[in-house]
Parts: sequence; C-alpha cells; structure tokens
Amino acid sequence: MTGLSSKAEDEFGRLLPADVTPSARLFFDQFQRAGLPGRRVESWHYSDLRTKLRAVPEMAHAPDDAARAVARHKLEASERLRLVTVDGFFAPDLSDDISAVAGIDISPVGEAEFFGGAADPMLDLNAAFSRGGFLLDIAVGARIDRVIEIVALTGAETDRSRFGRSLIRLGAGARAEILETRDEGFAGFGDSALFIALGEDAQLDYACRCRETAGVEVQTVNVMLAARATLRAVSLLAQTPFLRRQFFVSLAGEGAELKLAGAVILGRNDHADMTMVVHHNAPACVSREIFKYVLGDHANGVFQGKIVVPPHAQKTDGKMMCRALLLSDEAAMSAKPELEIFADDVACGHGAAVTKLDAQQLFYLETRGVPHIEAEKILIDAFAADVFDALESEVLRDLLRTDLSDLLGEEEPAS
Amino acid sequence: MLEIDNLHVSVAGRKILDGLTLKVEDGQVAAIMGPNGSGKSTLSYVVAGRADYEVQDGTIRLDGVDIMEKSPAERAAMGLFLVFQYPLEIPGVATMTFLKAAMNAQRKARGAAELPTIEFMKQVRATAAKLNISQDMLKRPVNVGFSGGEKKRMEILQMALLEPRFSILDEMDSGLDIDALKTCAEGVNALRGEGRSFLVITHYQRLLNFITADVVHVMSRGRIVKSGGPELALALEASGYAEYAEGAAA
Amino acid sequence: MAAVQQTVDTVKTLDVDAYKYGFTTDIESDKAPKGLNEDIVRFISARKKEPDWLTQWRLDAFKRWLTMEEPRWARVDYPKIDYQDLYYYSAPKGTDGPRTLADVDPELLRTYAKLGIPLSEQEILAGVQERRVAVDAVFDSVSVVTTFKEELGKAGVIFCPISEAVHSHPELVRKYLGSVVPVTDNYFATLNSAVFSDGSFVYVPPGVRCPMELSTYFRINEQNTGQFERTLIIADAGSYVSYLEGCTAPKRDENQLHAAVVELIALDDAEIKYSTVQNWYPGDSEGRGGIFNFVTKRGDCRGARSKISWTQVETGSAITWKYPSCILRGDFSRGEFYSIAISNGRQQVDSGTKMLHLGKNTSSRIISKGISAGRSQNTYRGQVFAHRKAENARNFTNCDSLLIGDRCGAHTVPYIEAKNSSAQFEHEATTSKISDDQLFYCMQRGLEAEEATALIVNGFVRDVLQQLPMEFAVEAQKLIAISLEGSVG
Repeated sequence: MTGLSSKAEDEFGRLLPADVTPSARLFFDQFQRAGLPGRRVESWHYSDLRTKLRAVPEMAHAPDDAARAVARHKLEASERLRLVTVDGFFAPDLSDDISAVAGIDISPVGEAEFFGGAADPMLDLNAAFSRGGFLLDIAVGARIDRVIEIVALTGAETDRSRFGRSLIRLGAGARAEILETRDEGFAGFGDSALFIALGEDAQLDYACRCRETAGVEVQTVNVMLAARATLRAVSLLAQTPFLRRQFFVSLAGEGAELKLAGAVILGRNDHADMTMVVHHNAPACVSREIFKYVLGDHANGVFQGKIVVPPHAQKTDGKMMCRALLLSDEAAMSAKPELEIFADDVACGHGAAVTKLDAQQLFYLETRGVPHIEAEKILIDAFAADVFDALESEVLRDLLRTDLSDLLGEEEPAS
Repeated sequence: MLEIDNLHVSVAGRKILDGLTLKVEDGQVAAIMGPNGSGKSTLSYVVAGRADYEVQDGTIRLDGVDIMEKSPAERAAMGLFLVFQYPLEIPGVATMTFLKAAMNAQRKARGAAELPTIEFMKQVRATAAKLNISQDMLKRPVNVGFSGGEKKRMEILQMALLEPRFSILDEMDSGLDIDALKTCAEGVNALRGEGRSFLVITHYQRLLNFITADVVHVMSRGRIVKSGGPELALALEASGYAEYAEGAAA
Repeated sequence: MAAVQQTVDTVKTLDVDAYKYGFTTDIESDKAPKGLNEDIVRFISARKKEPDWLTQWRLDAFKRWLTMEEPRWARVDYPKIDYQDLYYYSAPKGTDGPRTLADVDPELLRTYAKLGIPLSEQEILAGVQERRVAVDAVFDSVSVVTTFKEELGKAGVIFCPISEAVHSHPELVRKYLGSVVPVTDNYFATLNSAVFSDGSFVYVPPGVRCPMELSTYFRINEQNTGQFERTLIIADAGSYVSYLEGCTAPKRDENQLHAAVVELIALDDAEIKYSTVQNWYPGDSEGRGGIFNFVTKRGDCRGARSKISWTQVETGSAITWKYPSCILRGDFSRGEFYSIAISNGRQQVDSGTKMLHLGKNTSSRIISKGISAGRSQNTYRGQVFAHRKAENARNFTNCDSLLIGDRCGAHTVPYIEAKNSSAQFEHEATTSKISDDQLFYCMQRGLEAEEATALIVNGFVRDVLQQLPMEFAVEAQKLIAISLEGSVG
C-alpha cells in the first residue's frame, strides 16, 4: 500500500533464505507489496505492527538436540494424545506415537496441501517463511475418543522469529476434540498459521489456550467447513504482550455451523486483538461469535468481527457479541463488530458492550460474607467463563475453566 | 358460502392436505377438530391465501367465486377473516393506525367511502369496551408486548370492526384462560346470524361449550374423515383421536 | 391510516422515477467561469464583498485542499469527479439587491411554491399555515430570501444568510467559523471552506428560546454546478433552537456535487435540535445522474449541560457520505443521533455518526434505521469514543437494517472505543428482511403488498420519525413510501 518499506520489511527480505521456493517467493512479494500492516490499514488499525515490530529477531531453525532439551523441559505429563512443535517445527520424538491410533494420521505438510487462506499480509509472510509443519488427518467417519493436544513450544533461549504452519483435516462424518496449548515463551516474534478443514458432517471441538506468546505475535486460523460440518472453537488468551489472533472462516457448504468464542484476560501493558471474518458462503449456515474481555492495568483489548453474507447465502443466521469489562482507568477497549450483507432472507445481528462490574451484585455477594476481592473474582470468572459453553466437549470446557480460575487466582484484579 | 373441493396442498414437498372437501353453509358455524399435525392450520392459511404453499389441485369458492388466484387482501375485502393462532407483532405501528388502514382499505376495495375519523374512533371505542380492551392497549403498537389473551381479544376486536362474512378461528382457545375465552366467545357469538358463517378450528371440545357448532367435522391426515352434529365433539372428547389417526394410517 | 393511503395515492400519480421535485427553473443566472483556481476563490469572495480576512481564509483552505486526497474509505463507488468541470458559483440574476419578498423574481417564488415551501409571510400570518416557520431559501449559490427576520430580531435571534452575517455580525462569524470543523478537517470540508457560497447563520442569544422553527431550504437548479453551502448555528448559554433543513434538485443526467459544512455550537445549558429531510435527486433507476452528497456536519457541545440532537431522513442523492457528529466537550453534555436512511435503485449510502465523549458525565444515544431496496448499498458507519478522562461516559446505540429484495446490501460498521473504565457503552444491531408473516397478517386484514410494506416500514422507523417536528414527520412519512416505490415485487 505504500512505497516506503519499513526497516522490519527490509530485514525480513534479508532473512529470506537463498534457496526459497518460487511459491514462497511469490508470497513474500505479496507481503512486501502490502507492507507490514499498521494504523493506516483499516483491518489492522488497532494493532499497529509497524511501530511494534522495529527489529526482526533471527530466524528459528529446525530444532537440534539442545533445542529439544529446552522444549522437553517444559513438557508436563498428560493423558492426552500429544503432538509437539518446537519453534513451529513438528517434533515427532517429543510427541506421542499418534499414528498408532486408528483413524489418525500425522505427516509433514507440503505447501500444496493448504487450502487458500485469506488475503492478509501476515499470512503471506507466514507462507513465505514457514517450514516443518504437520498435517493431521482424521479419517472419514472416525471418532477419536481421546483429546488430541497440540503443544507449541520453543527450543530457543534467545529471541527468535517463528513461523509455524500446519493443517488439520477431518474427513466426512469424523469427530474429534483438539486442544492447542501455545507456550512458546514471551521472547521474539511469532507469525503462525493453522488451517482447519472439516468434511461434510464432521464435528470438531477446538480449544486454544495461549499461555506464553511472543513479544509480538500473530496467529492466523483459517477454517473451511463443508456442508453440515460443525466447528466449535474457543480461545483463552491471557497475559499476551502483543498478540493478534485472527480467524478467517468460510462456511462453504450448506448448513455448516460455526461457534466461535473466546475469553481475553489481560493486565500489565498487554495487548490482545481478536479479529475474525466469517464468510457465509453457502445458504442456511449458522454462526455464533461470542467474546468476553476482562481488562485491568494498562491493558488494551481489541475485537474486530465481521460477518459477510453474499447474495446466494439465503437463510443465513449469524449473531455476534462482544462484551468488555474494564477494571482499571488505564485499560482500553476497542470493538468493531461489522455486518456486510448482500442477501435479504437473513437474520443477522451483533451486540457490543463495555461495562464495569455490577455494584449491586458485588454488594449482594458481600452481604453474604464474601470478601470484596473474592466477590470480584467470582463475578469476573462468571462473566468470562460462560463463553466456554460454546464447546460440546466437557473435557475441554473443564480444562479452560481450570485455566481461567488459575489465572484469576494468581492475579489480583486491579480495582 | 364456502366450498372447498378436492384440495391437495404440500409444503416443502410434504403432503399436508390430501383431497380435502368441505362446505360451510350460509349462517352456519362449522367446527373442524383433529389431532395435531392433521393439517388444520394449513387449511386456514391456504383459504386466507398465504404464499409458500404448493396447491396441486382443488378449488376454493367464496360465495360462488373462485378465490384461488386472489391475493390475501382481495380475499379479505370479499369478507374473509382469519383469527390467527399466533397473531403477529408489528413494532412501531400503533394499533389504531393499523385498524384504520385495514378498515379503509377494505371499504375502498368495496367501493365505499373512507370512514370519517370521528365515526371510526366511536366504533372502535364501543367495540373495545365490550371486549375489555383498554384505551392504552389501542395506543400501543400492534400486538407488541400483549399477553396471549390480549392478542386474541385484539383479533376479535378486528373481526367485530371488519364485519367479515366468513371467519376462520384457528385454535382461538390456545393460550386463553377461561375468562378470556368467555370474552372472546361472546364477541364471536354477537356476530352470529344470517349472512355470516364461521369455521372454528380446534383441538379441544372445550371451545365448543362457548361457541356452539351446527356441524362438527373431524380432520385427519389432510382430509375430513367424519362429519356430524355437536354430539360428535363430545364423543371425541371422551375417546380421543386415536381411532382416526390409525384409521388414516391404514 | 390516512397518511399511508395518501402516500400510495401519491405514488400512483408519479412517473416511473417517482421523484417529484425533478423540474428545472428557467431563470437567468450569473455564473463564475467553469473550473477551480485561486482566481475563482477570489471571484466568489469578491462577489460577496467579503473582508480580507475571509478571502485569505478561503485561499488558505484552497492551498491546503490542493495537497489533499479524496477519501476512499467509505463503501461508495463513483466515477472520478473532475473538479475543473464544475461551476463553483451560480446566482439567479437580480439577487444582489436587498432581499425582501417584493424583490424576488416571480419565477423563483413560483419554484418555491411548487416545492411547497411557504415564503410569503402574509399567507402564513393569515393562518394558511398553522405553525410558523421562518425560511431561508438558498437557490444554487445564494440565499434568495429569508422570512420572519424582523420578528426574530425582536427576540434577539439572528437568522440570515451567512454572506450577510459576514457583514452584519463579523465578530460572531469570525469567532465561530471553522471552530468546529477546522479548515483542514477533510477533503470535502476543506473544499467547502475555499468555495462556500451561501447558507444560513443563526445566533440565539443567552436564555432565549427561539420563538419559531428555523428552516433552510436548499435547491440546486443550475447544470454542472456544485453547491457548497455553509451553515453556522450558535446557541448561547441557556438558549434553545430547532432548525430544519430540506433539499431538492432537478433531474439531470449528469451528477451534481454537493459538499456542505454545518457547524453547531451549544454553550452552557443550550440545546440545538437539527433536523434534515434530504431529498436530493437520487438518479434514475439505472443510476444515471443524481447528487453526490459529501457533507460534514458536526456539533460541538462546548458548554456544560448542553445538548445537540441530529435527526435525519435520508432518501435522496446518488451517493451519500455524511456523518453528523457530536463533540461532547462540556460536562454533562448530551448528543443524539436519529437517522432513517433509505436507499433504492442504485443509490449508495454511507452514513452514520461520531459521538466523541471528552467531558465528564456525558451521554449519547444513536438510533439508526437503514432500509435498502432495489440494487442499492446502505452502510451505517459510526464511532463512539470515550476519552481517558471522560468519566461516566454513557452511550446506547441501536442500529437496525431492513432489506427489501435480494439485490441490495446492508452493512454495519461501528467503532466502539473506550479508554475509561467508567464508560458504559451498549451497542446492538440487527439486519433482517420484512417478515413474510407480518406481511401476510397485514394483507389478511385487507392491505395490498405495497401498502403493507409501507406500513411496516413506517413502524420500523417510528422511533426516529417521532423525533421530527410534526410537519416534517408527515412529509418524511410520505417520502419513505415514495422512496420505496417499486421495491415490492
């Protein structure tokens, strides 16, 4: 959009390996033409990467023994079927032997297998740099009983630039529950992409908890749903120094259903931007987006949601809601819920609200003997936790609830 | 007055009315009773001219005139009135405004002059009083925030003002307590007489204690399966619809 | 309901394009040469015998404008405007002299009579009109007559063309002009600052409740002529004024440019109610012709407890780009925005508001009703912002869109920005079509489809219509049905 390239863009150019593939080169050219997004780009207005990303850290490389040791150190014991990435590279030796489970296949992913994502400069940048991601295939009709967990870790002990890019595919009628735990450490820069494709009638519960995200991080989730497929996706974002998490969803088959939800708990100088563009590309699809923000200290919350309904997507049912609770005078919230509608037989709506804790409810709890701080926590917990109900999987819901209580427990809400 | 002959109707490819034939004489009150899903509401909508129904065959005549090609408004102007089972809410449109628009549209279609406002107000007030409808309700938007009983009384008010020749009461008793039911029934009975006919659609016999039917038809699987006098309703109340549901399935 | 019936009757008597103000007035006019440069700016200023400071102000604006780019962020699509292919000044001949009714060209009086605008005070006094409304009639670039000036003068209210106020009340004009919409504000406002022709000026002194409604009626007649009016309204401490604005233009195949600036200033405890019925020619059903309406309207609640309320009914123009806004600077000040935006044919509307909460305990309310029909595109774009120091800012926004037909679009783009923990913002929006059930219910009671649609749409917009002064509300209701003509099929 501008002829001036920032320092960061030049640095990315220098970091591009000499043996880059032609398609990666194309993606990089696309990124360079658009430039690093900033205030002047409407869709990035509230998350100014141009000022945030002044210097680009060294590229992360495929993990060596030392890196694997660092990552292993962070790995906790778990019942779940685990799939580990280190700086975006799939690490089979740290992962469970998932392919032994019937209906699941895991393999390295090639560029050709990704479906077309959204037009977004950071997604282009990801495509240009990423290597070593995985392809997780759930077979047609398979029902996976155990939760599959994707754990994203780092092997580096200094700042690195990471570009994970992986793909999850569910065959027709398949069902699965996937948990993603992002724990790559607070250092460096991240620009990851996850692609999720659901076949006809497939159902996926997908929960993502962002525990430690990079100093500056962009996460892109591209979703494609075939007819009658259902995706229930919930994100729990907390303590993110500077995170943009974006969903680009195509409800591509008739009767597909999307539930997209999230809780964003921020303090310090945290910045988190949840952006989603939901394209109802087929008739009679349903989408529900619900996001809750709890903002303390100097935190900055951003919500951008857009429901797009082209002329042929009649009988669309789309509703979006965003609520923010501001706990401190220095915290700020910006919300932009958009509707873009070209079909007439639709029922679409959105709501947004910025509020504070209900003094009456607080008082009520206090009269029942609950101390003020405790009462606040209870109300905040209740405010945020109901977004987890978007998930059908009880296991995932409980996991997120526990994480949320832990978060609220360790941080004194500023009042 | 109303003659329905061999009516076949489908909704989204599913057959709802299957060769229904029915005749309601001048001045007659006919009741149609039937189990849920027998096509009673569909019948009322098709007679009133609602789109979205695929009519494969059959005719409907009102006073000898085929009305199949007429718009709902034209049928209304001919004197057809439907008491909706679930009356619609129309936000922002005052009830008085709505009543006046409807009355004048029908008068105009019949070639009559518009009703002077004072005369209109007088008529509405007098009729509303009989039905326990407050002035406040008349000022509110059409059916918005009304209870189930209030909505039904508003339907009867419209019926009384529009003086239709043929009225269809679609499950008028649903959602009504006994007092509201009495009020509404009195409203209907007051209109009974020469030149006016009624088709009372109901699931329960209870309504017929208040509005006495001249004939009772039993509907099942999209057609009339039995007809008789008021005693038929009482028999149904005792034995239920099981016999008819099975009979149709065979 | 009589209004609906009347509307439907009116519709039937109209021609296909349904625009009844599309006639032209054959009158000789005095024009500046085509095009835009410093000389034209000087020409306009000289024609109005303006003082040097104002000439300079215009020239500064013009220089600034040359460095600016036309904004492209709105959801409107139109061919490039050739700013050199327009006339920037056009006045009906003989309007230079003293403006009393006796001096006005009878052809102009006939035009306004045809438009239904009462200009004769006698007629009004004789009781033909029930309520009295003072009118400033602006024809192309100049004000042709302002009624009731004397009577308003007795109350201390100044109501005159801005070109006159520059001479009669230079201190007020100089103090407030450009103080709400700065010369550098945006492309179209800057252009307006350079070439603005005429418009209304209102000053209501402290404690005065303006004894009658004030209104300005804008008419673009001349071909290839831009209209760049400038309105400035100042409500001094504790005063109240209600101001109405109406606009029409002839049917022409070319697009005509209208880039107005309206500035409102409310001091302590003052209240300004500003209503617009915008009915510029929308172009024909294929999108030929019509007005490009790029308007900057902003109110400054400068004083404590001041209040500014915008009500708009937008039915005209090929392109609408308009965001009447409130700067809530004074503590306890209040801003309101009530809007009905109807688009049909190939019209494109991008309209909404900004509520900028700066003072403490400020509140705002936004009710927007968009109706899209035909092949039109209708966008609501609005911003609600609470400054870090704007304690207890409150906003309620309700923004509903109705779609009629499957070839139009309805879009909602709200920006909600809170930087203060005591802010309480609530926003809700819906998009839907008129339900088949509602239509059927009305039709079962005897209303034909078009009549039923008009009735339901009037119900949909009622919250906003109620904000309009009585005469305008009736007019607006008729206009709504006319605008939707042919949309029900």
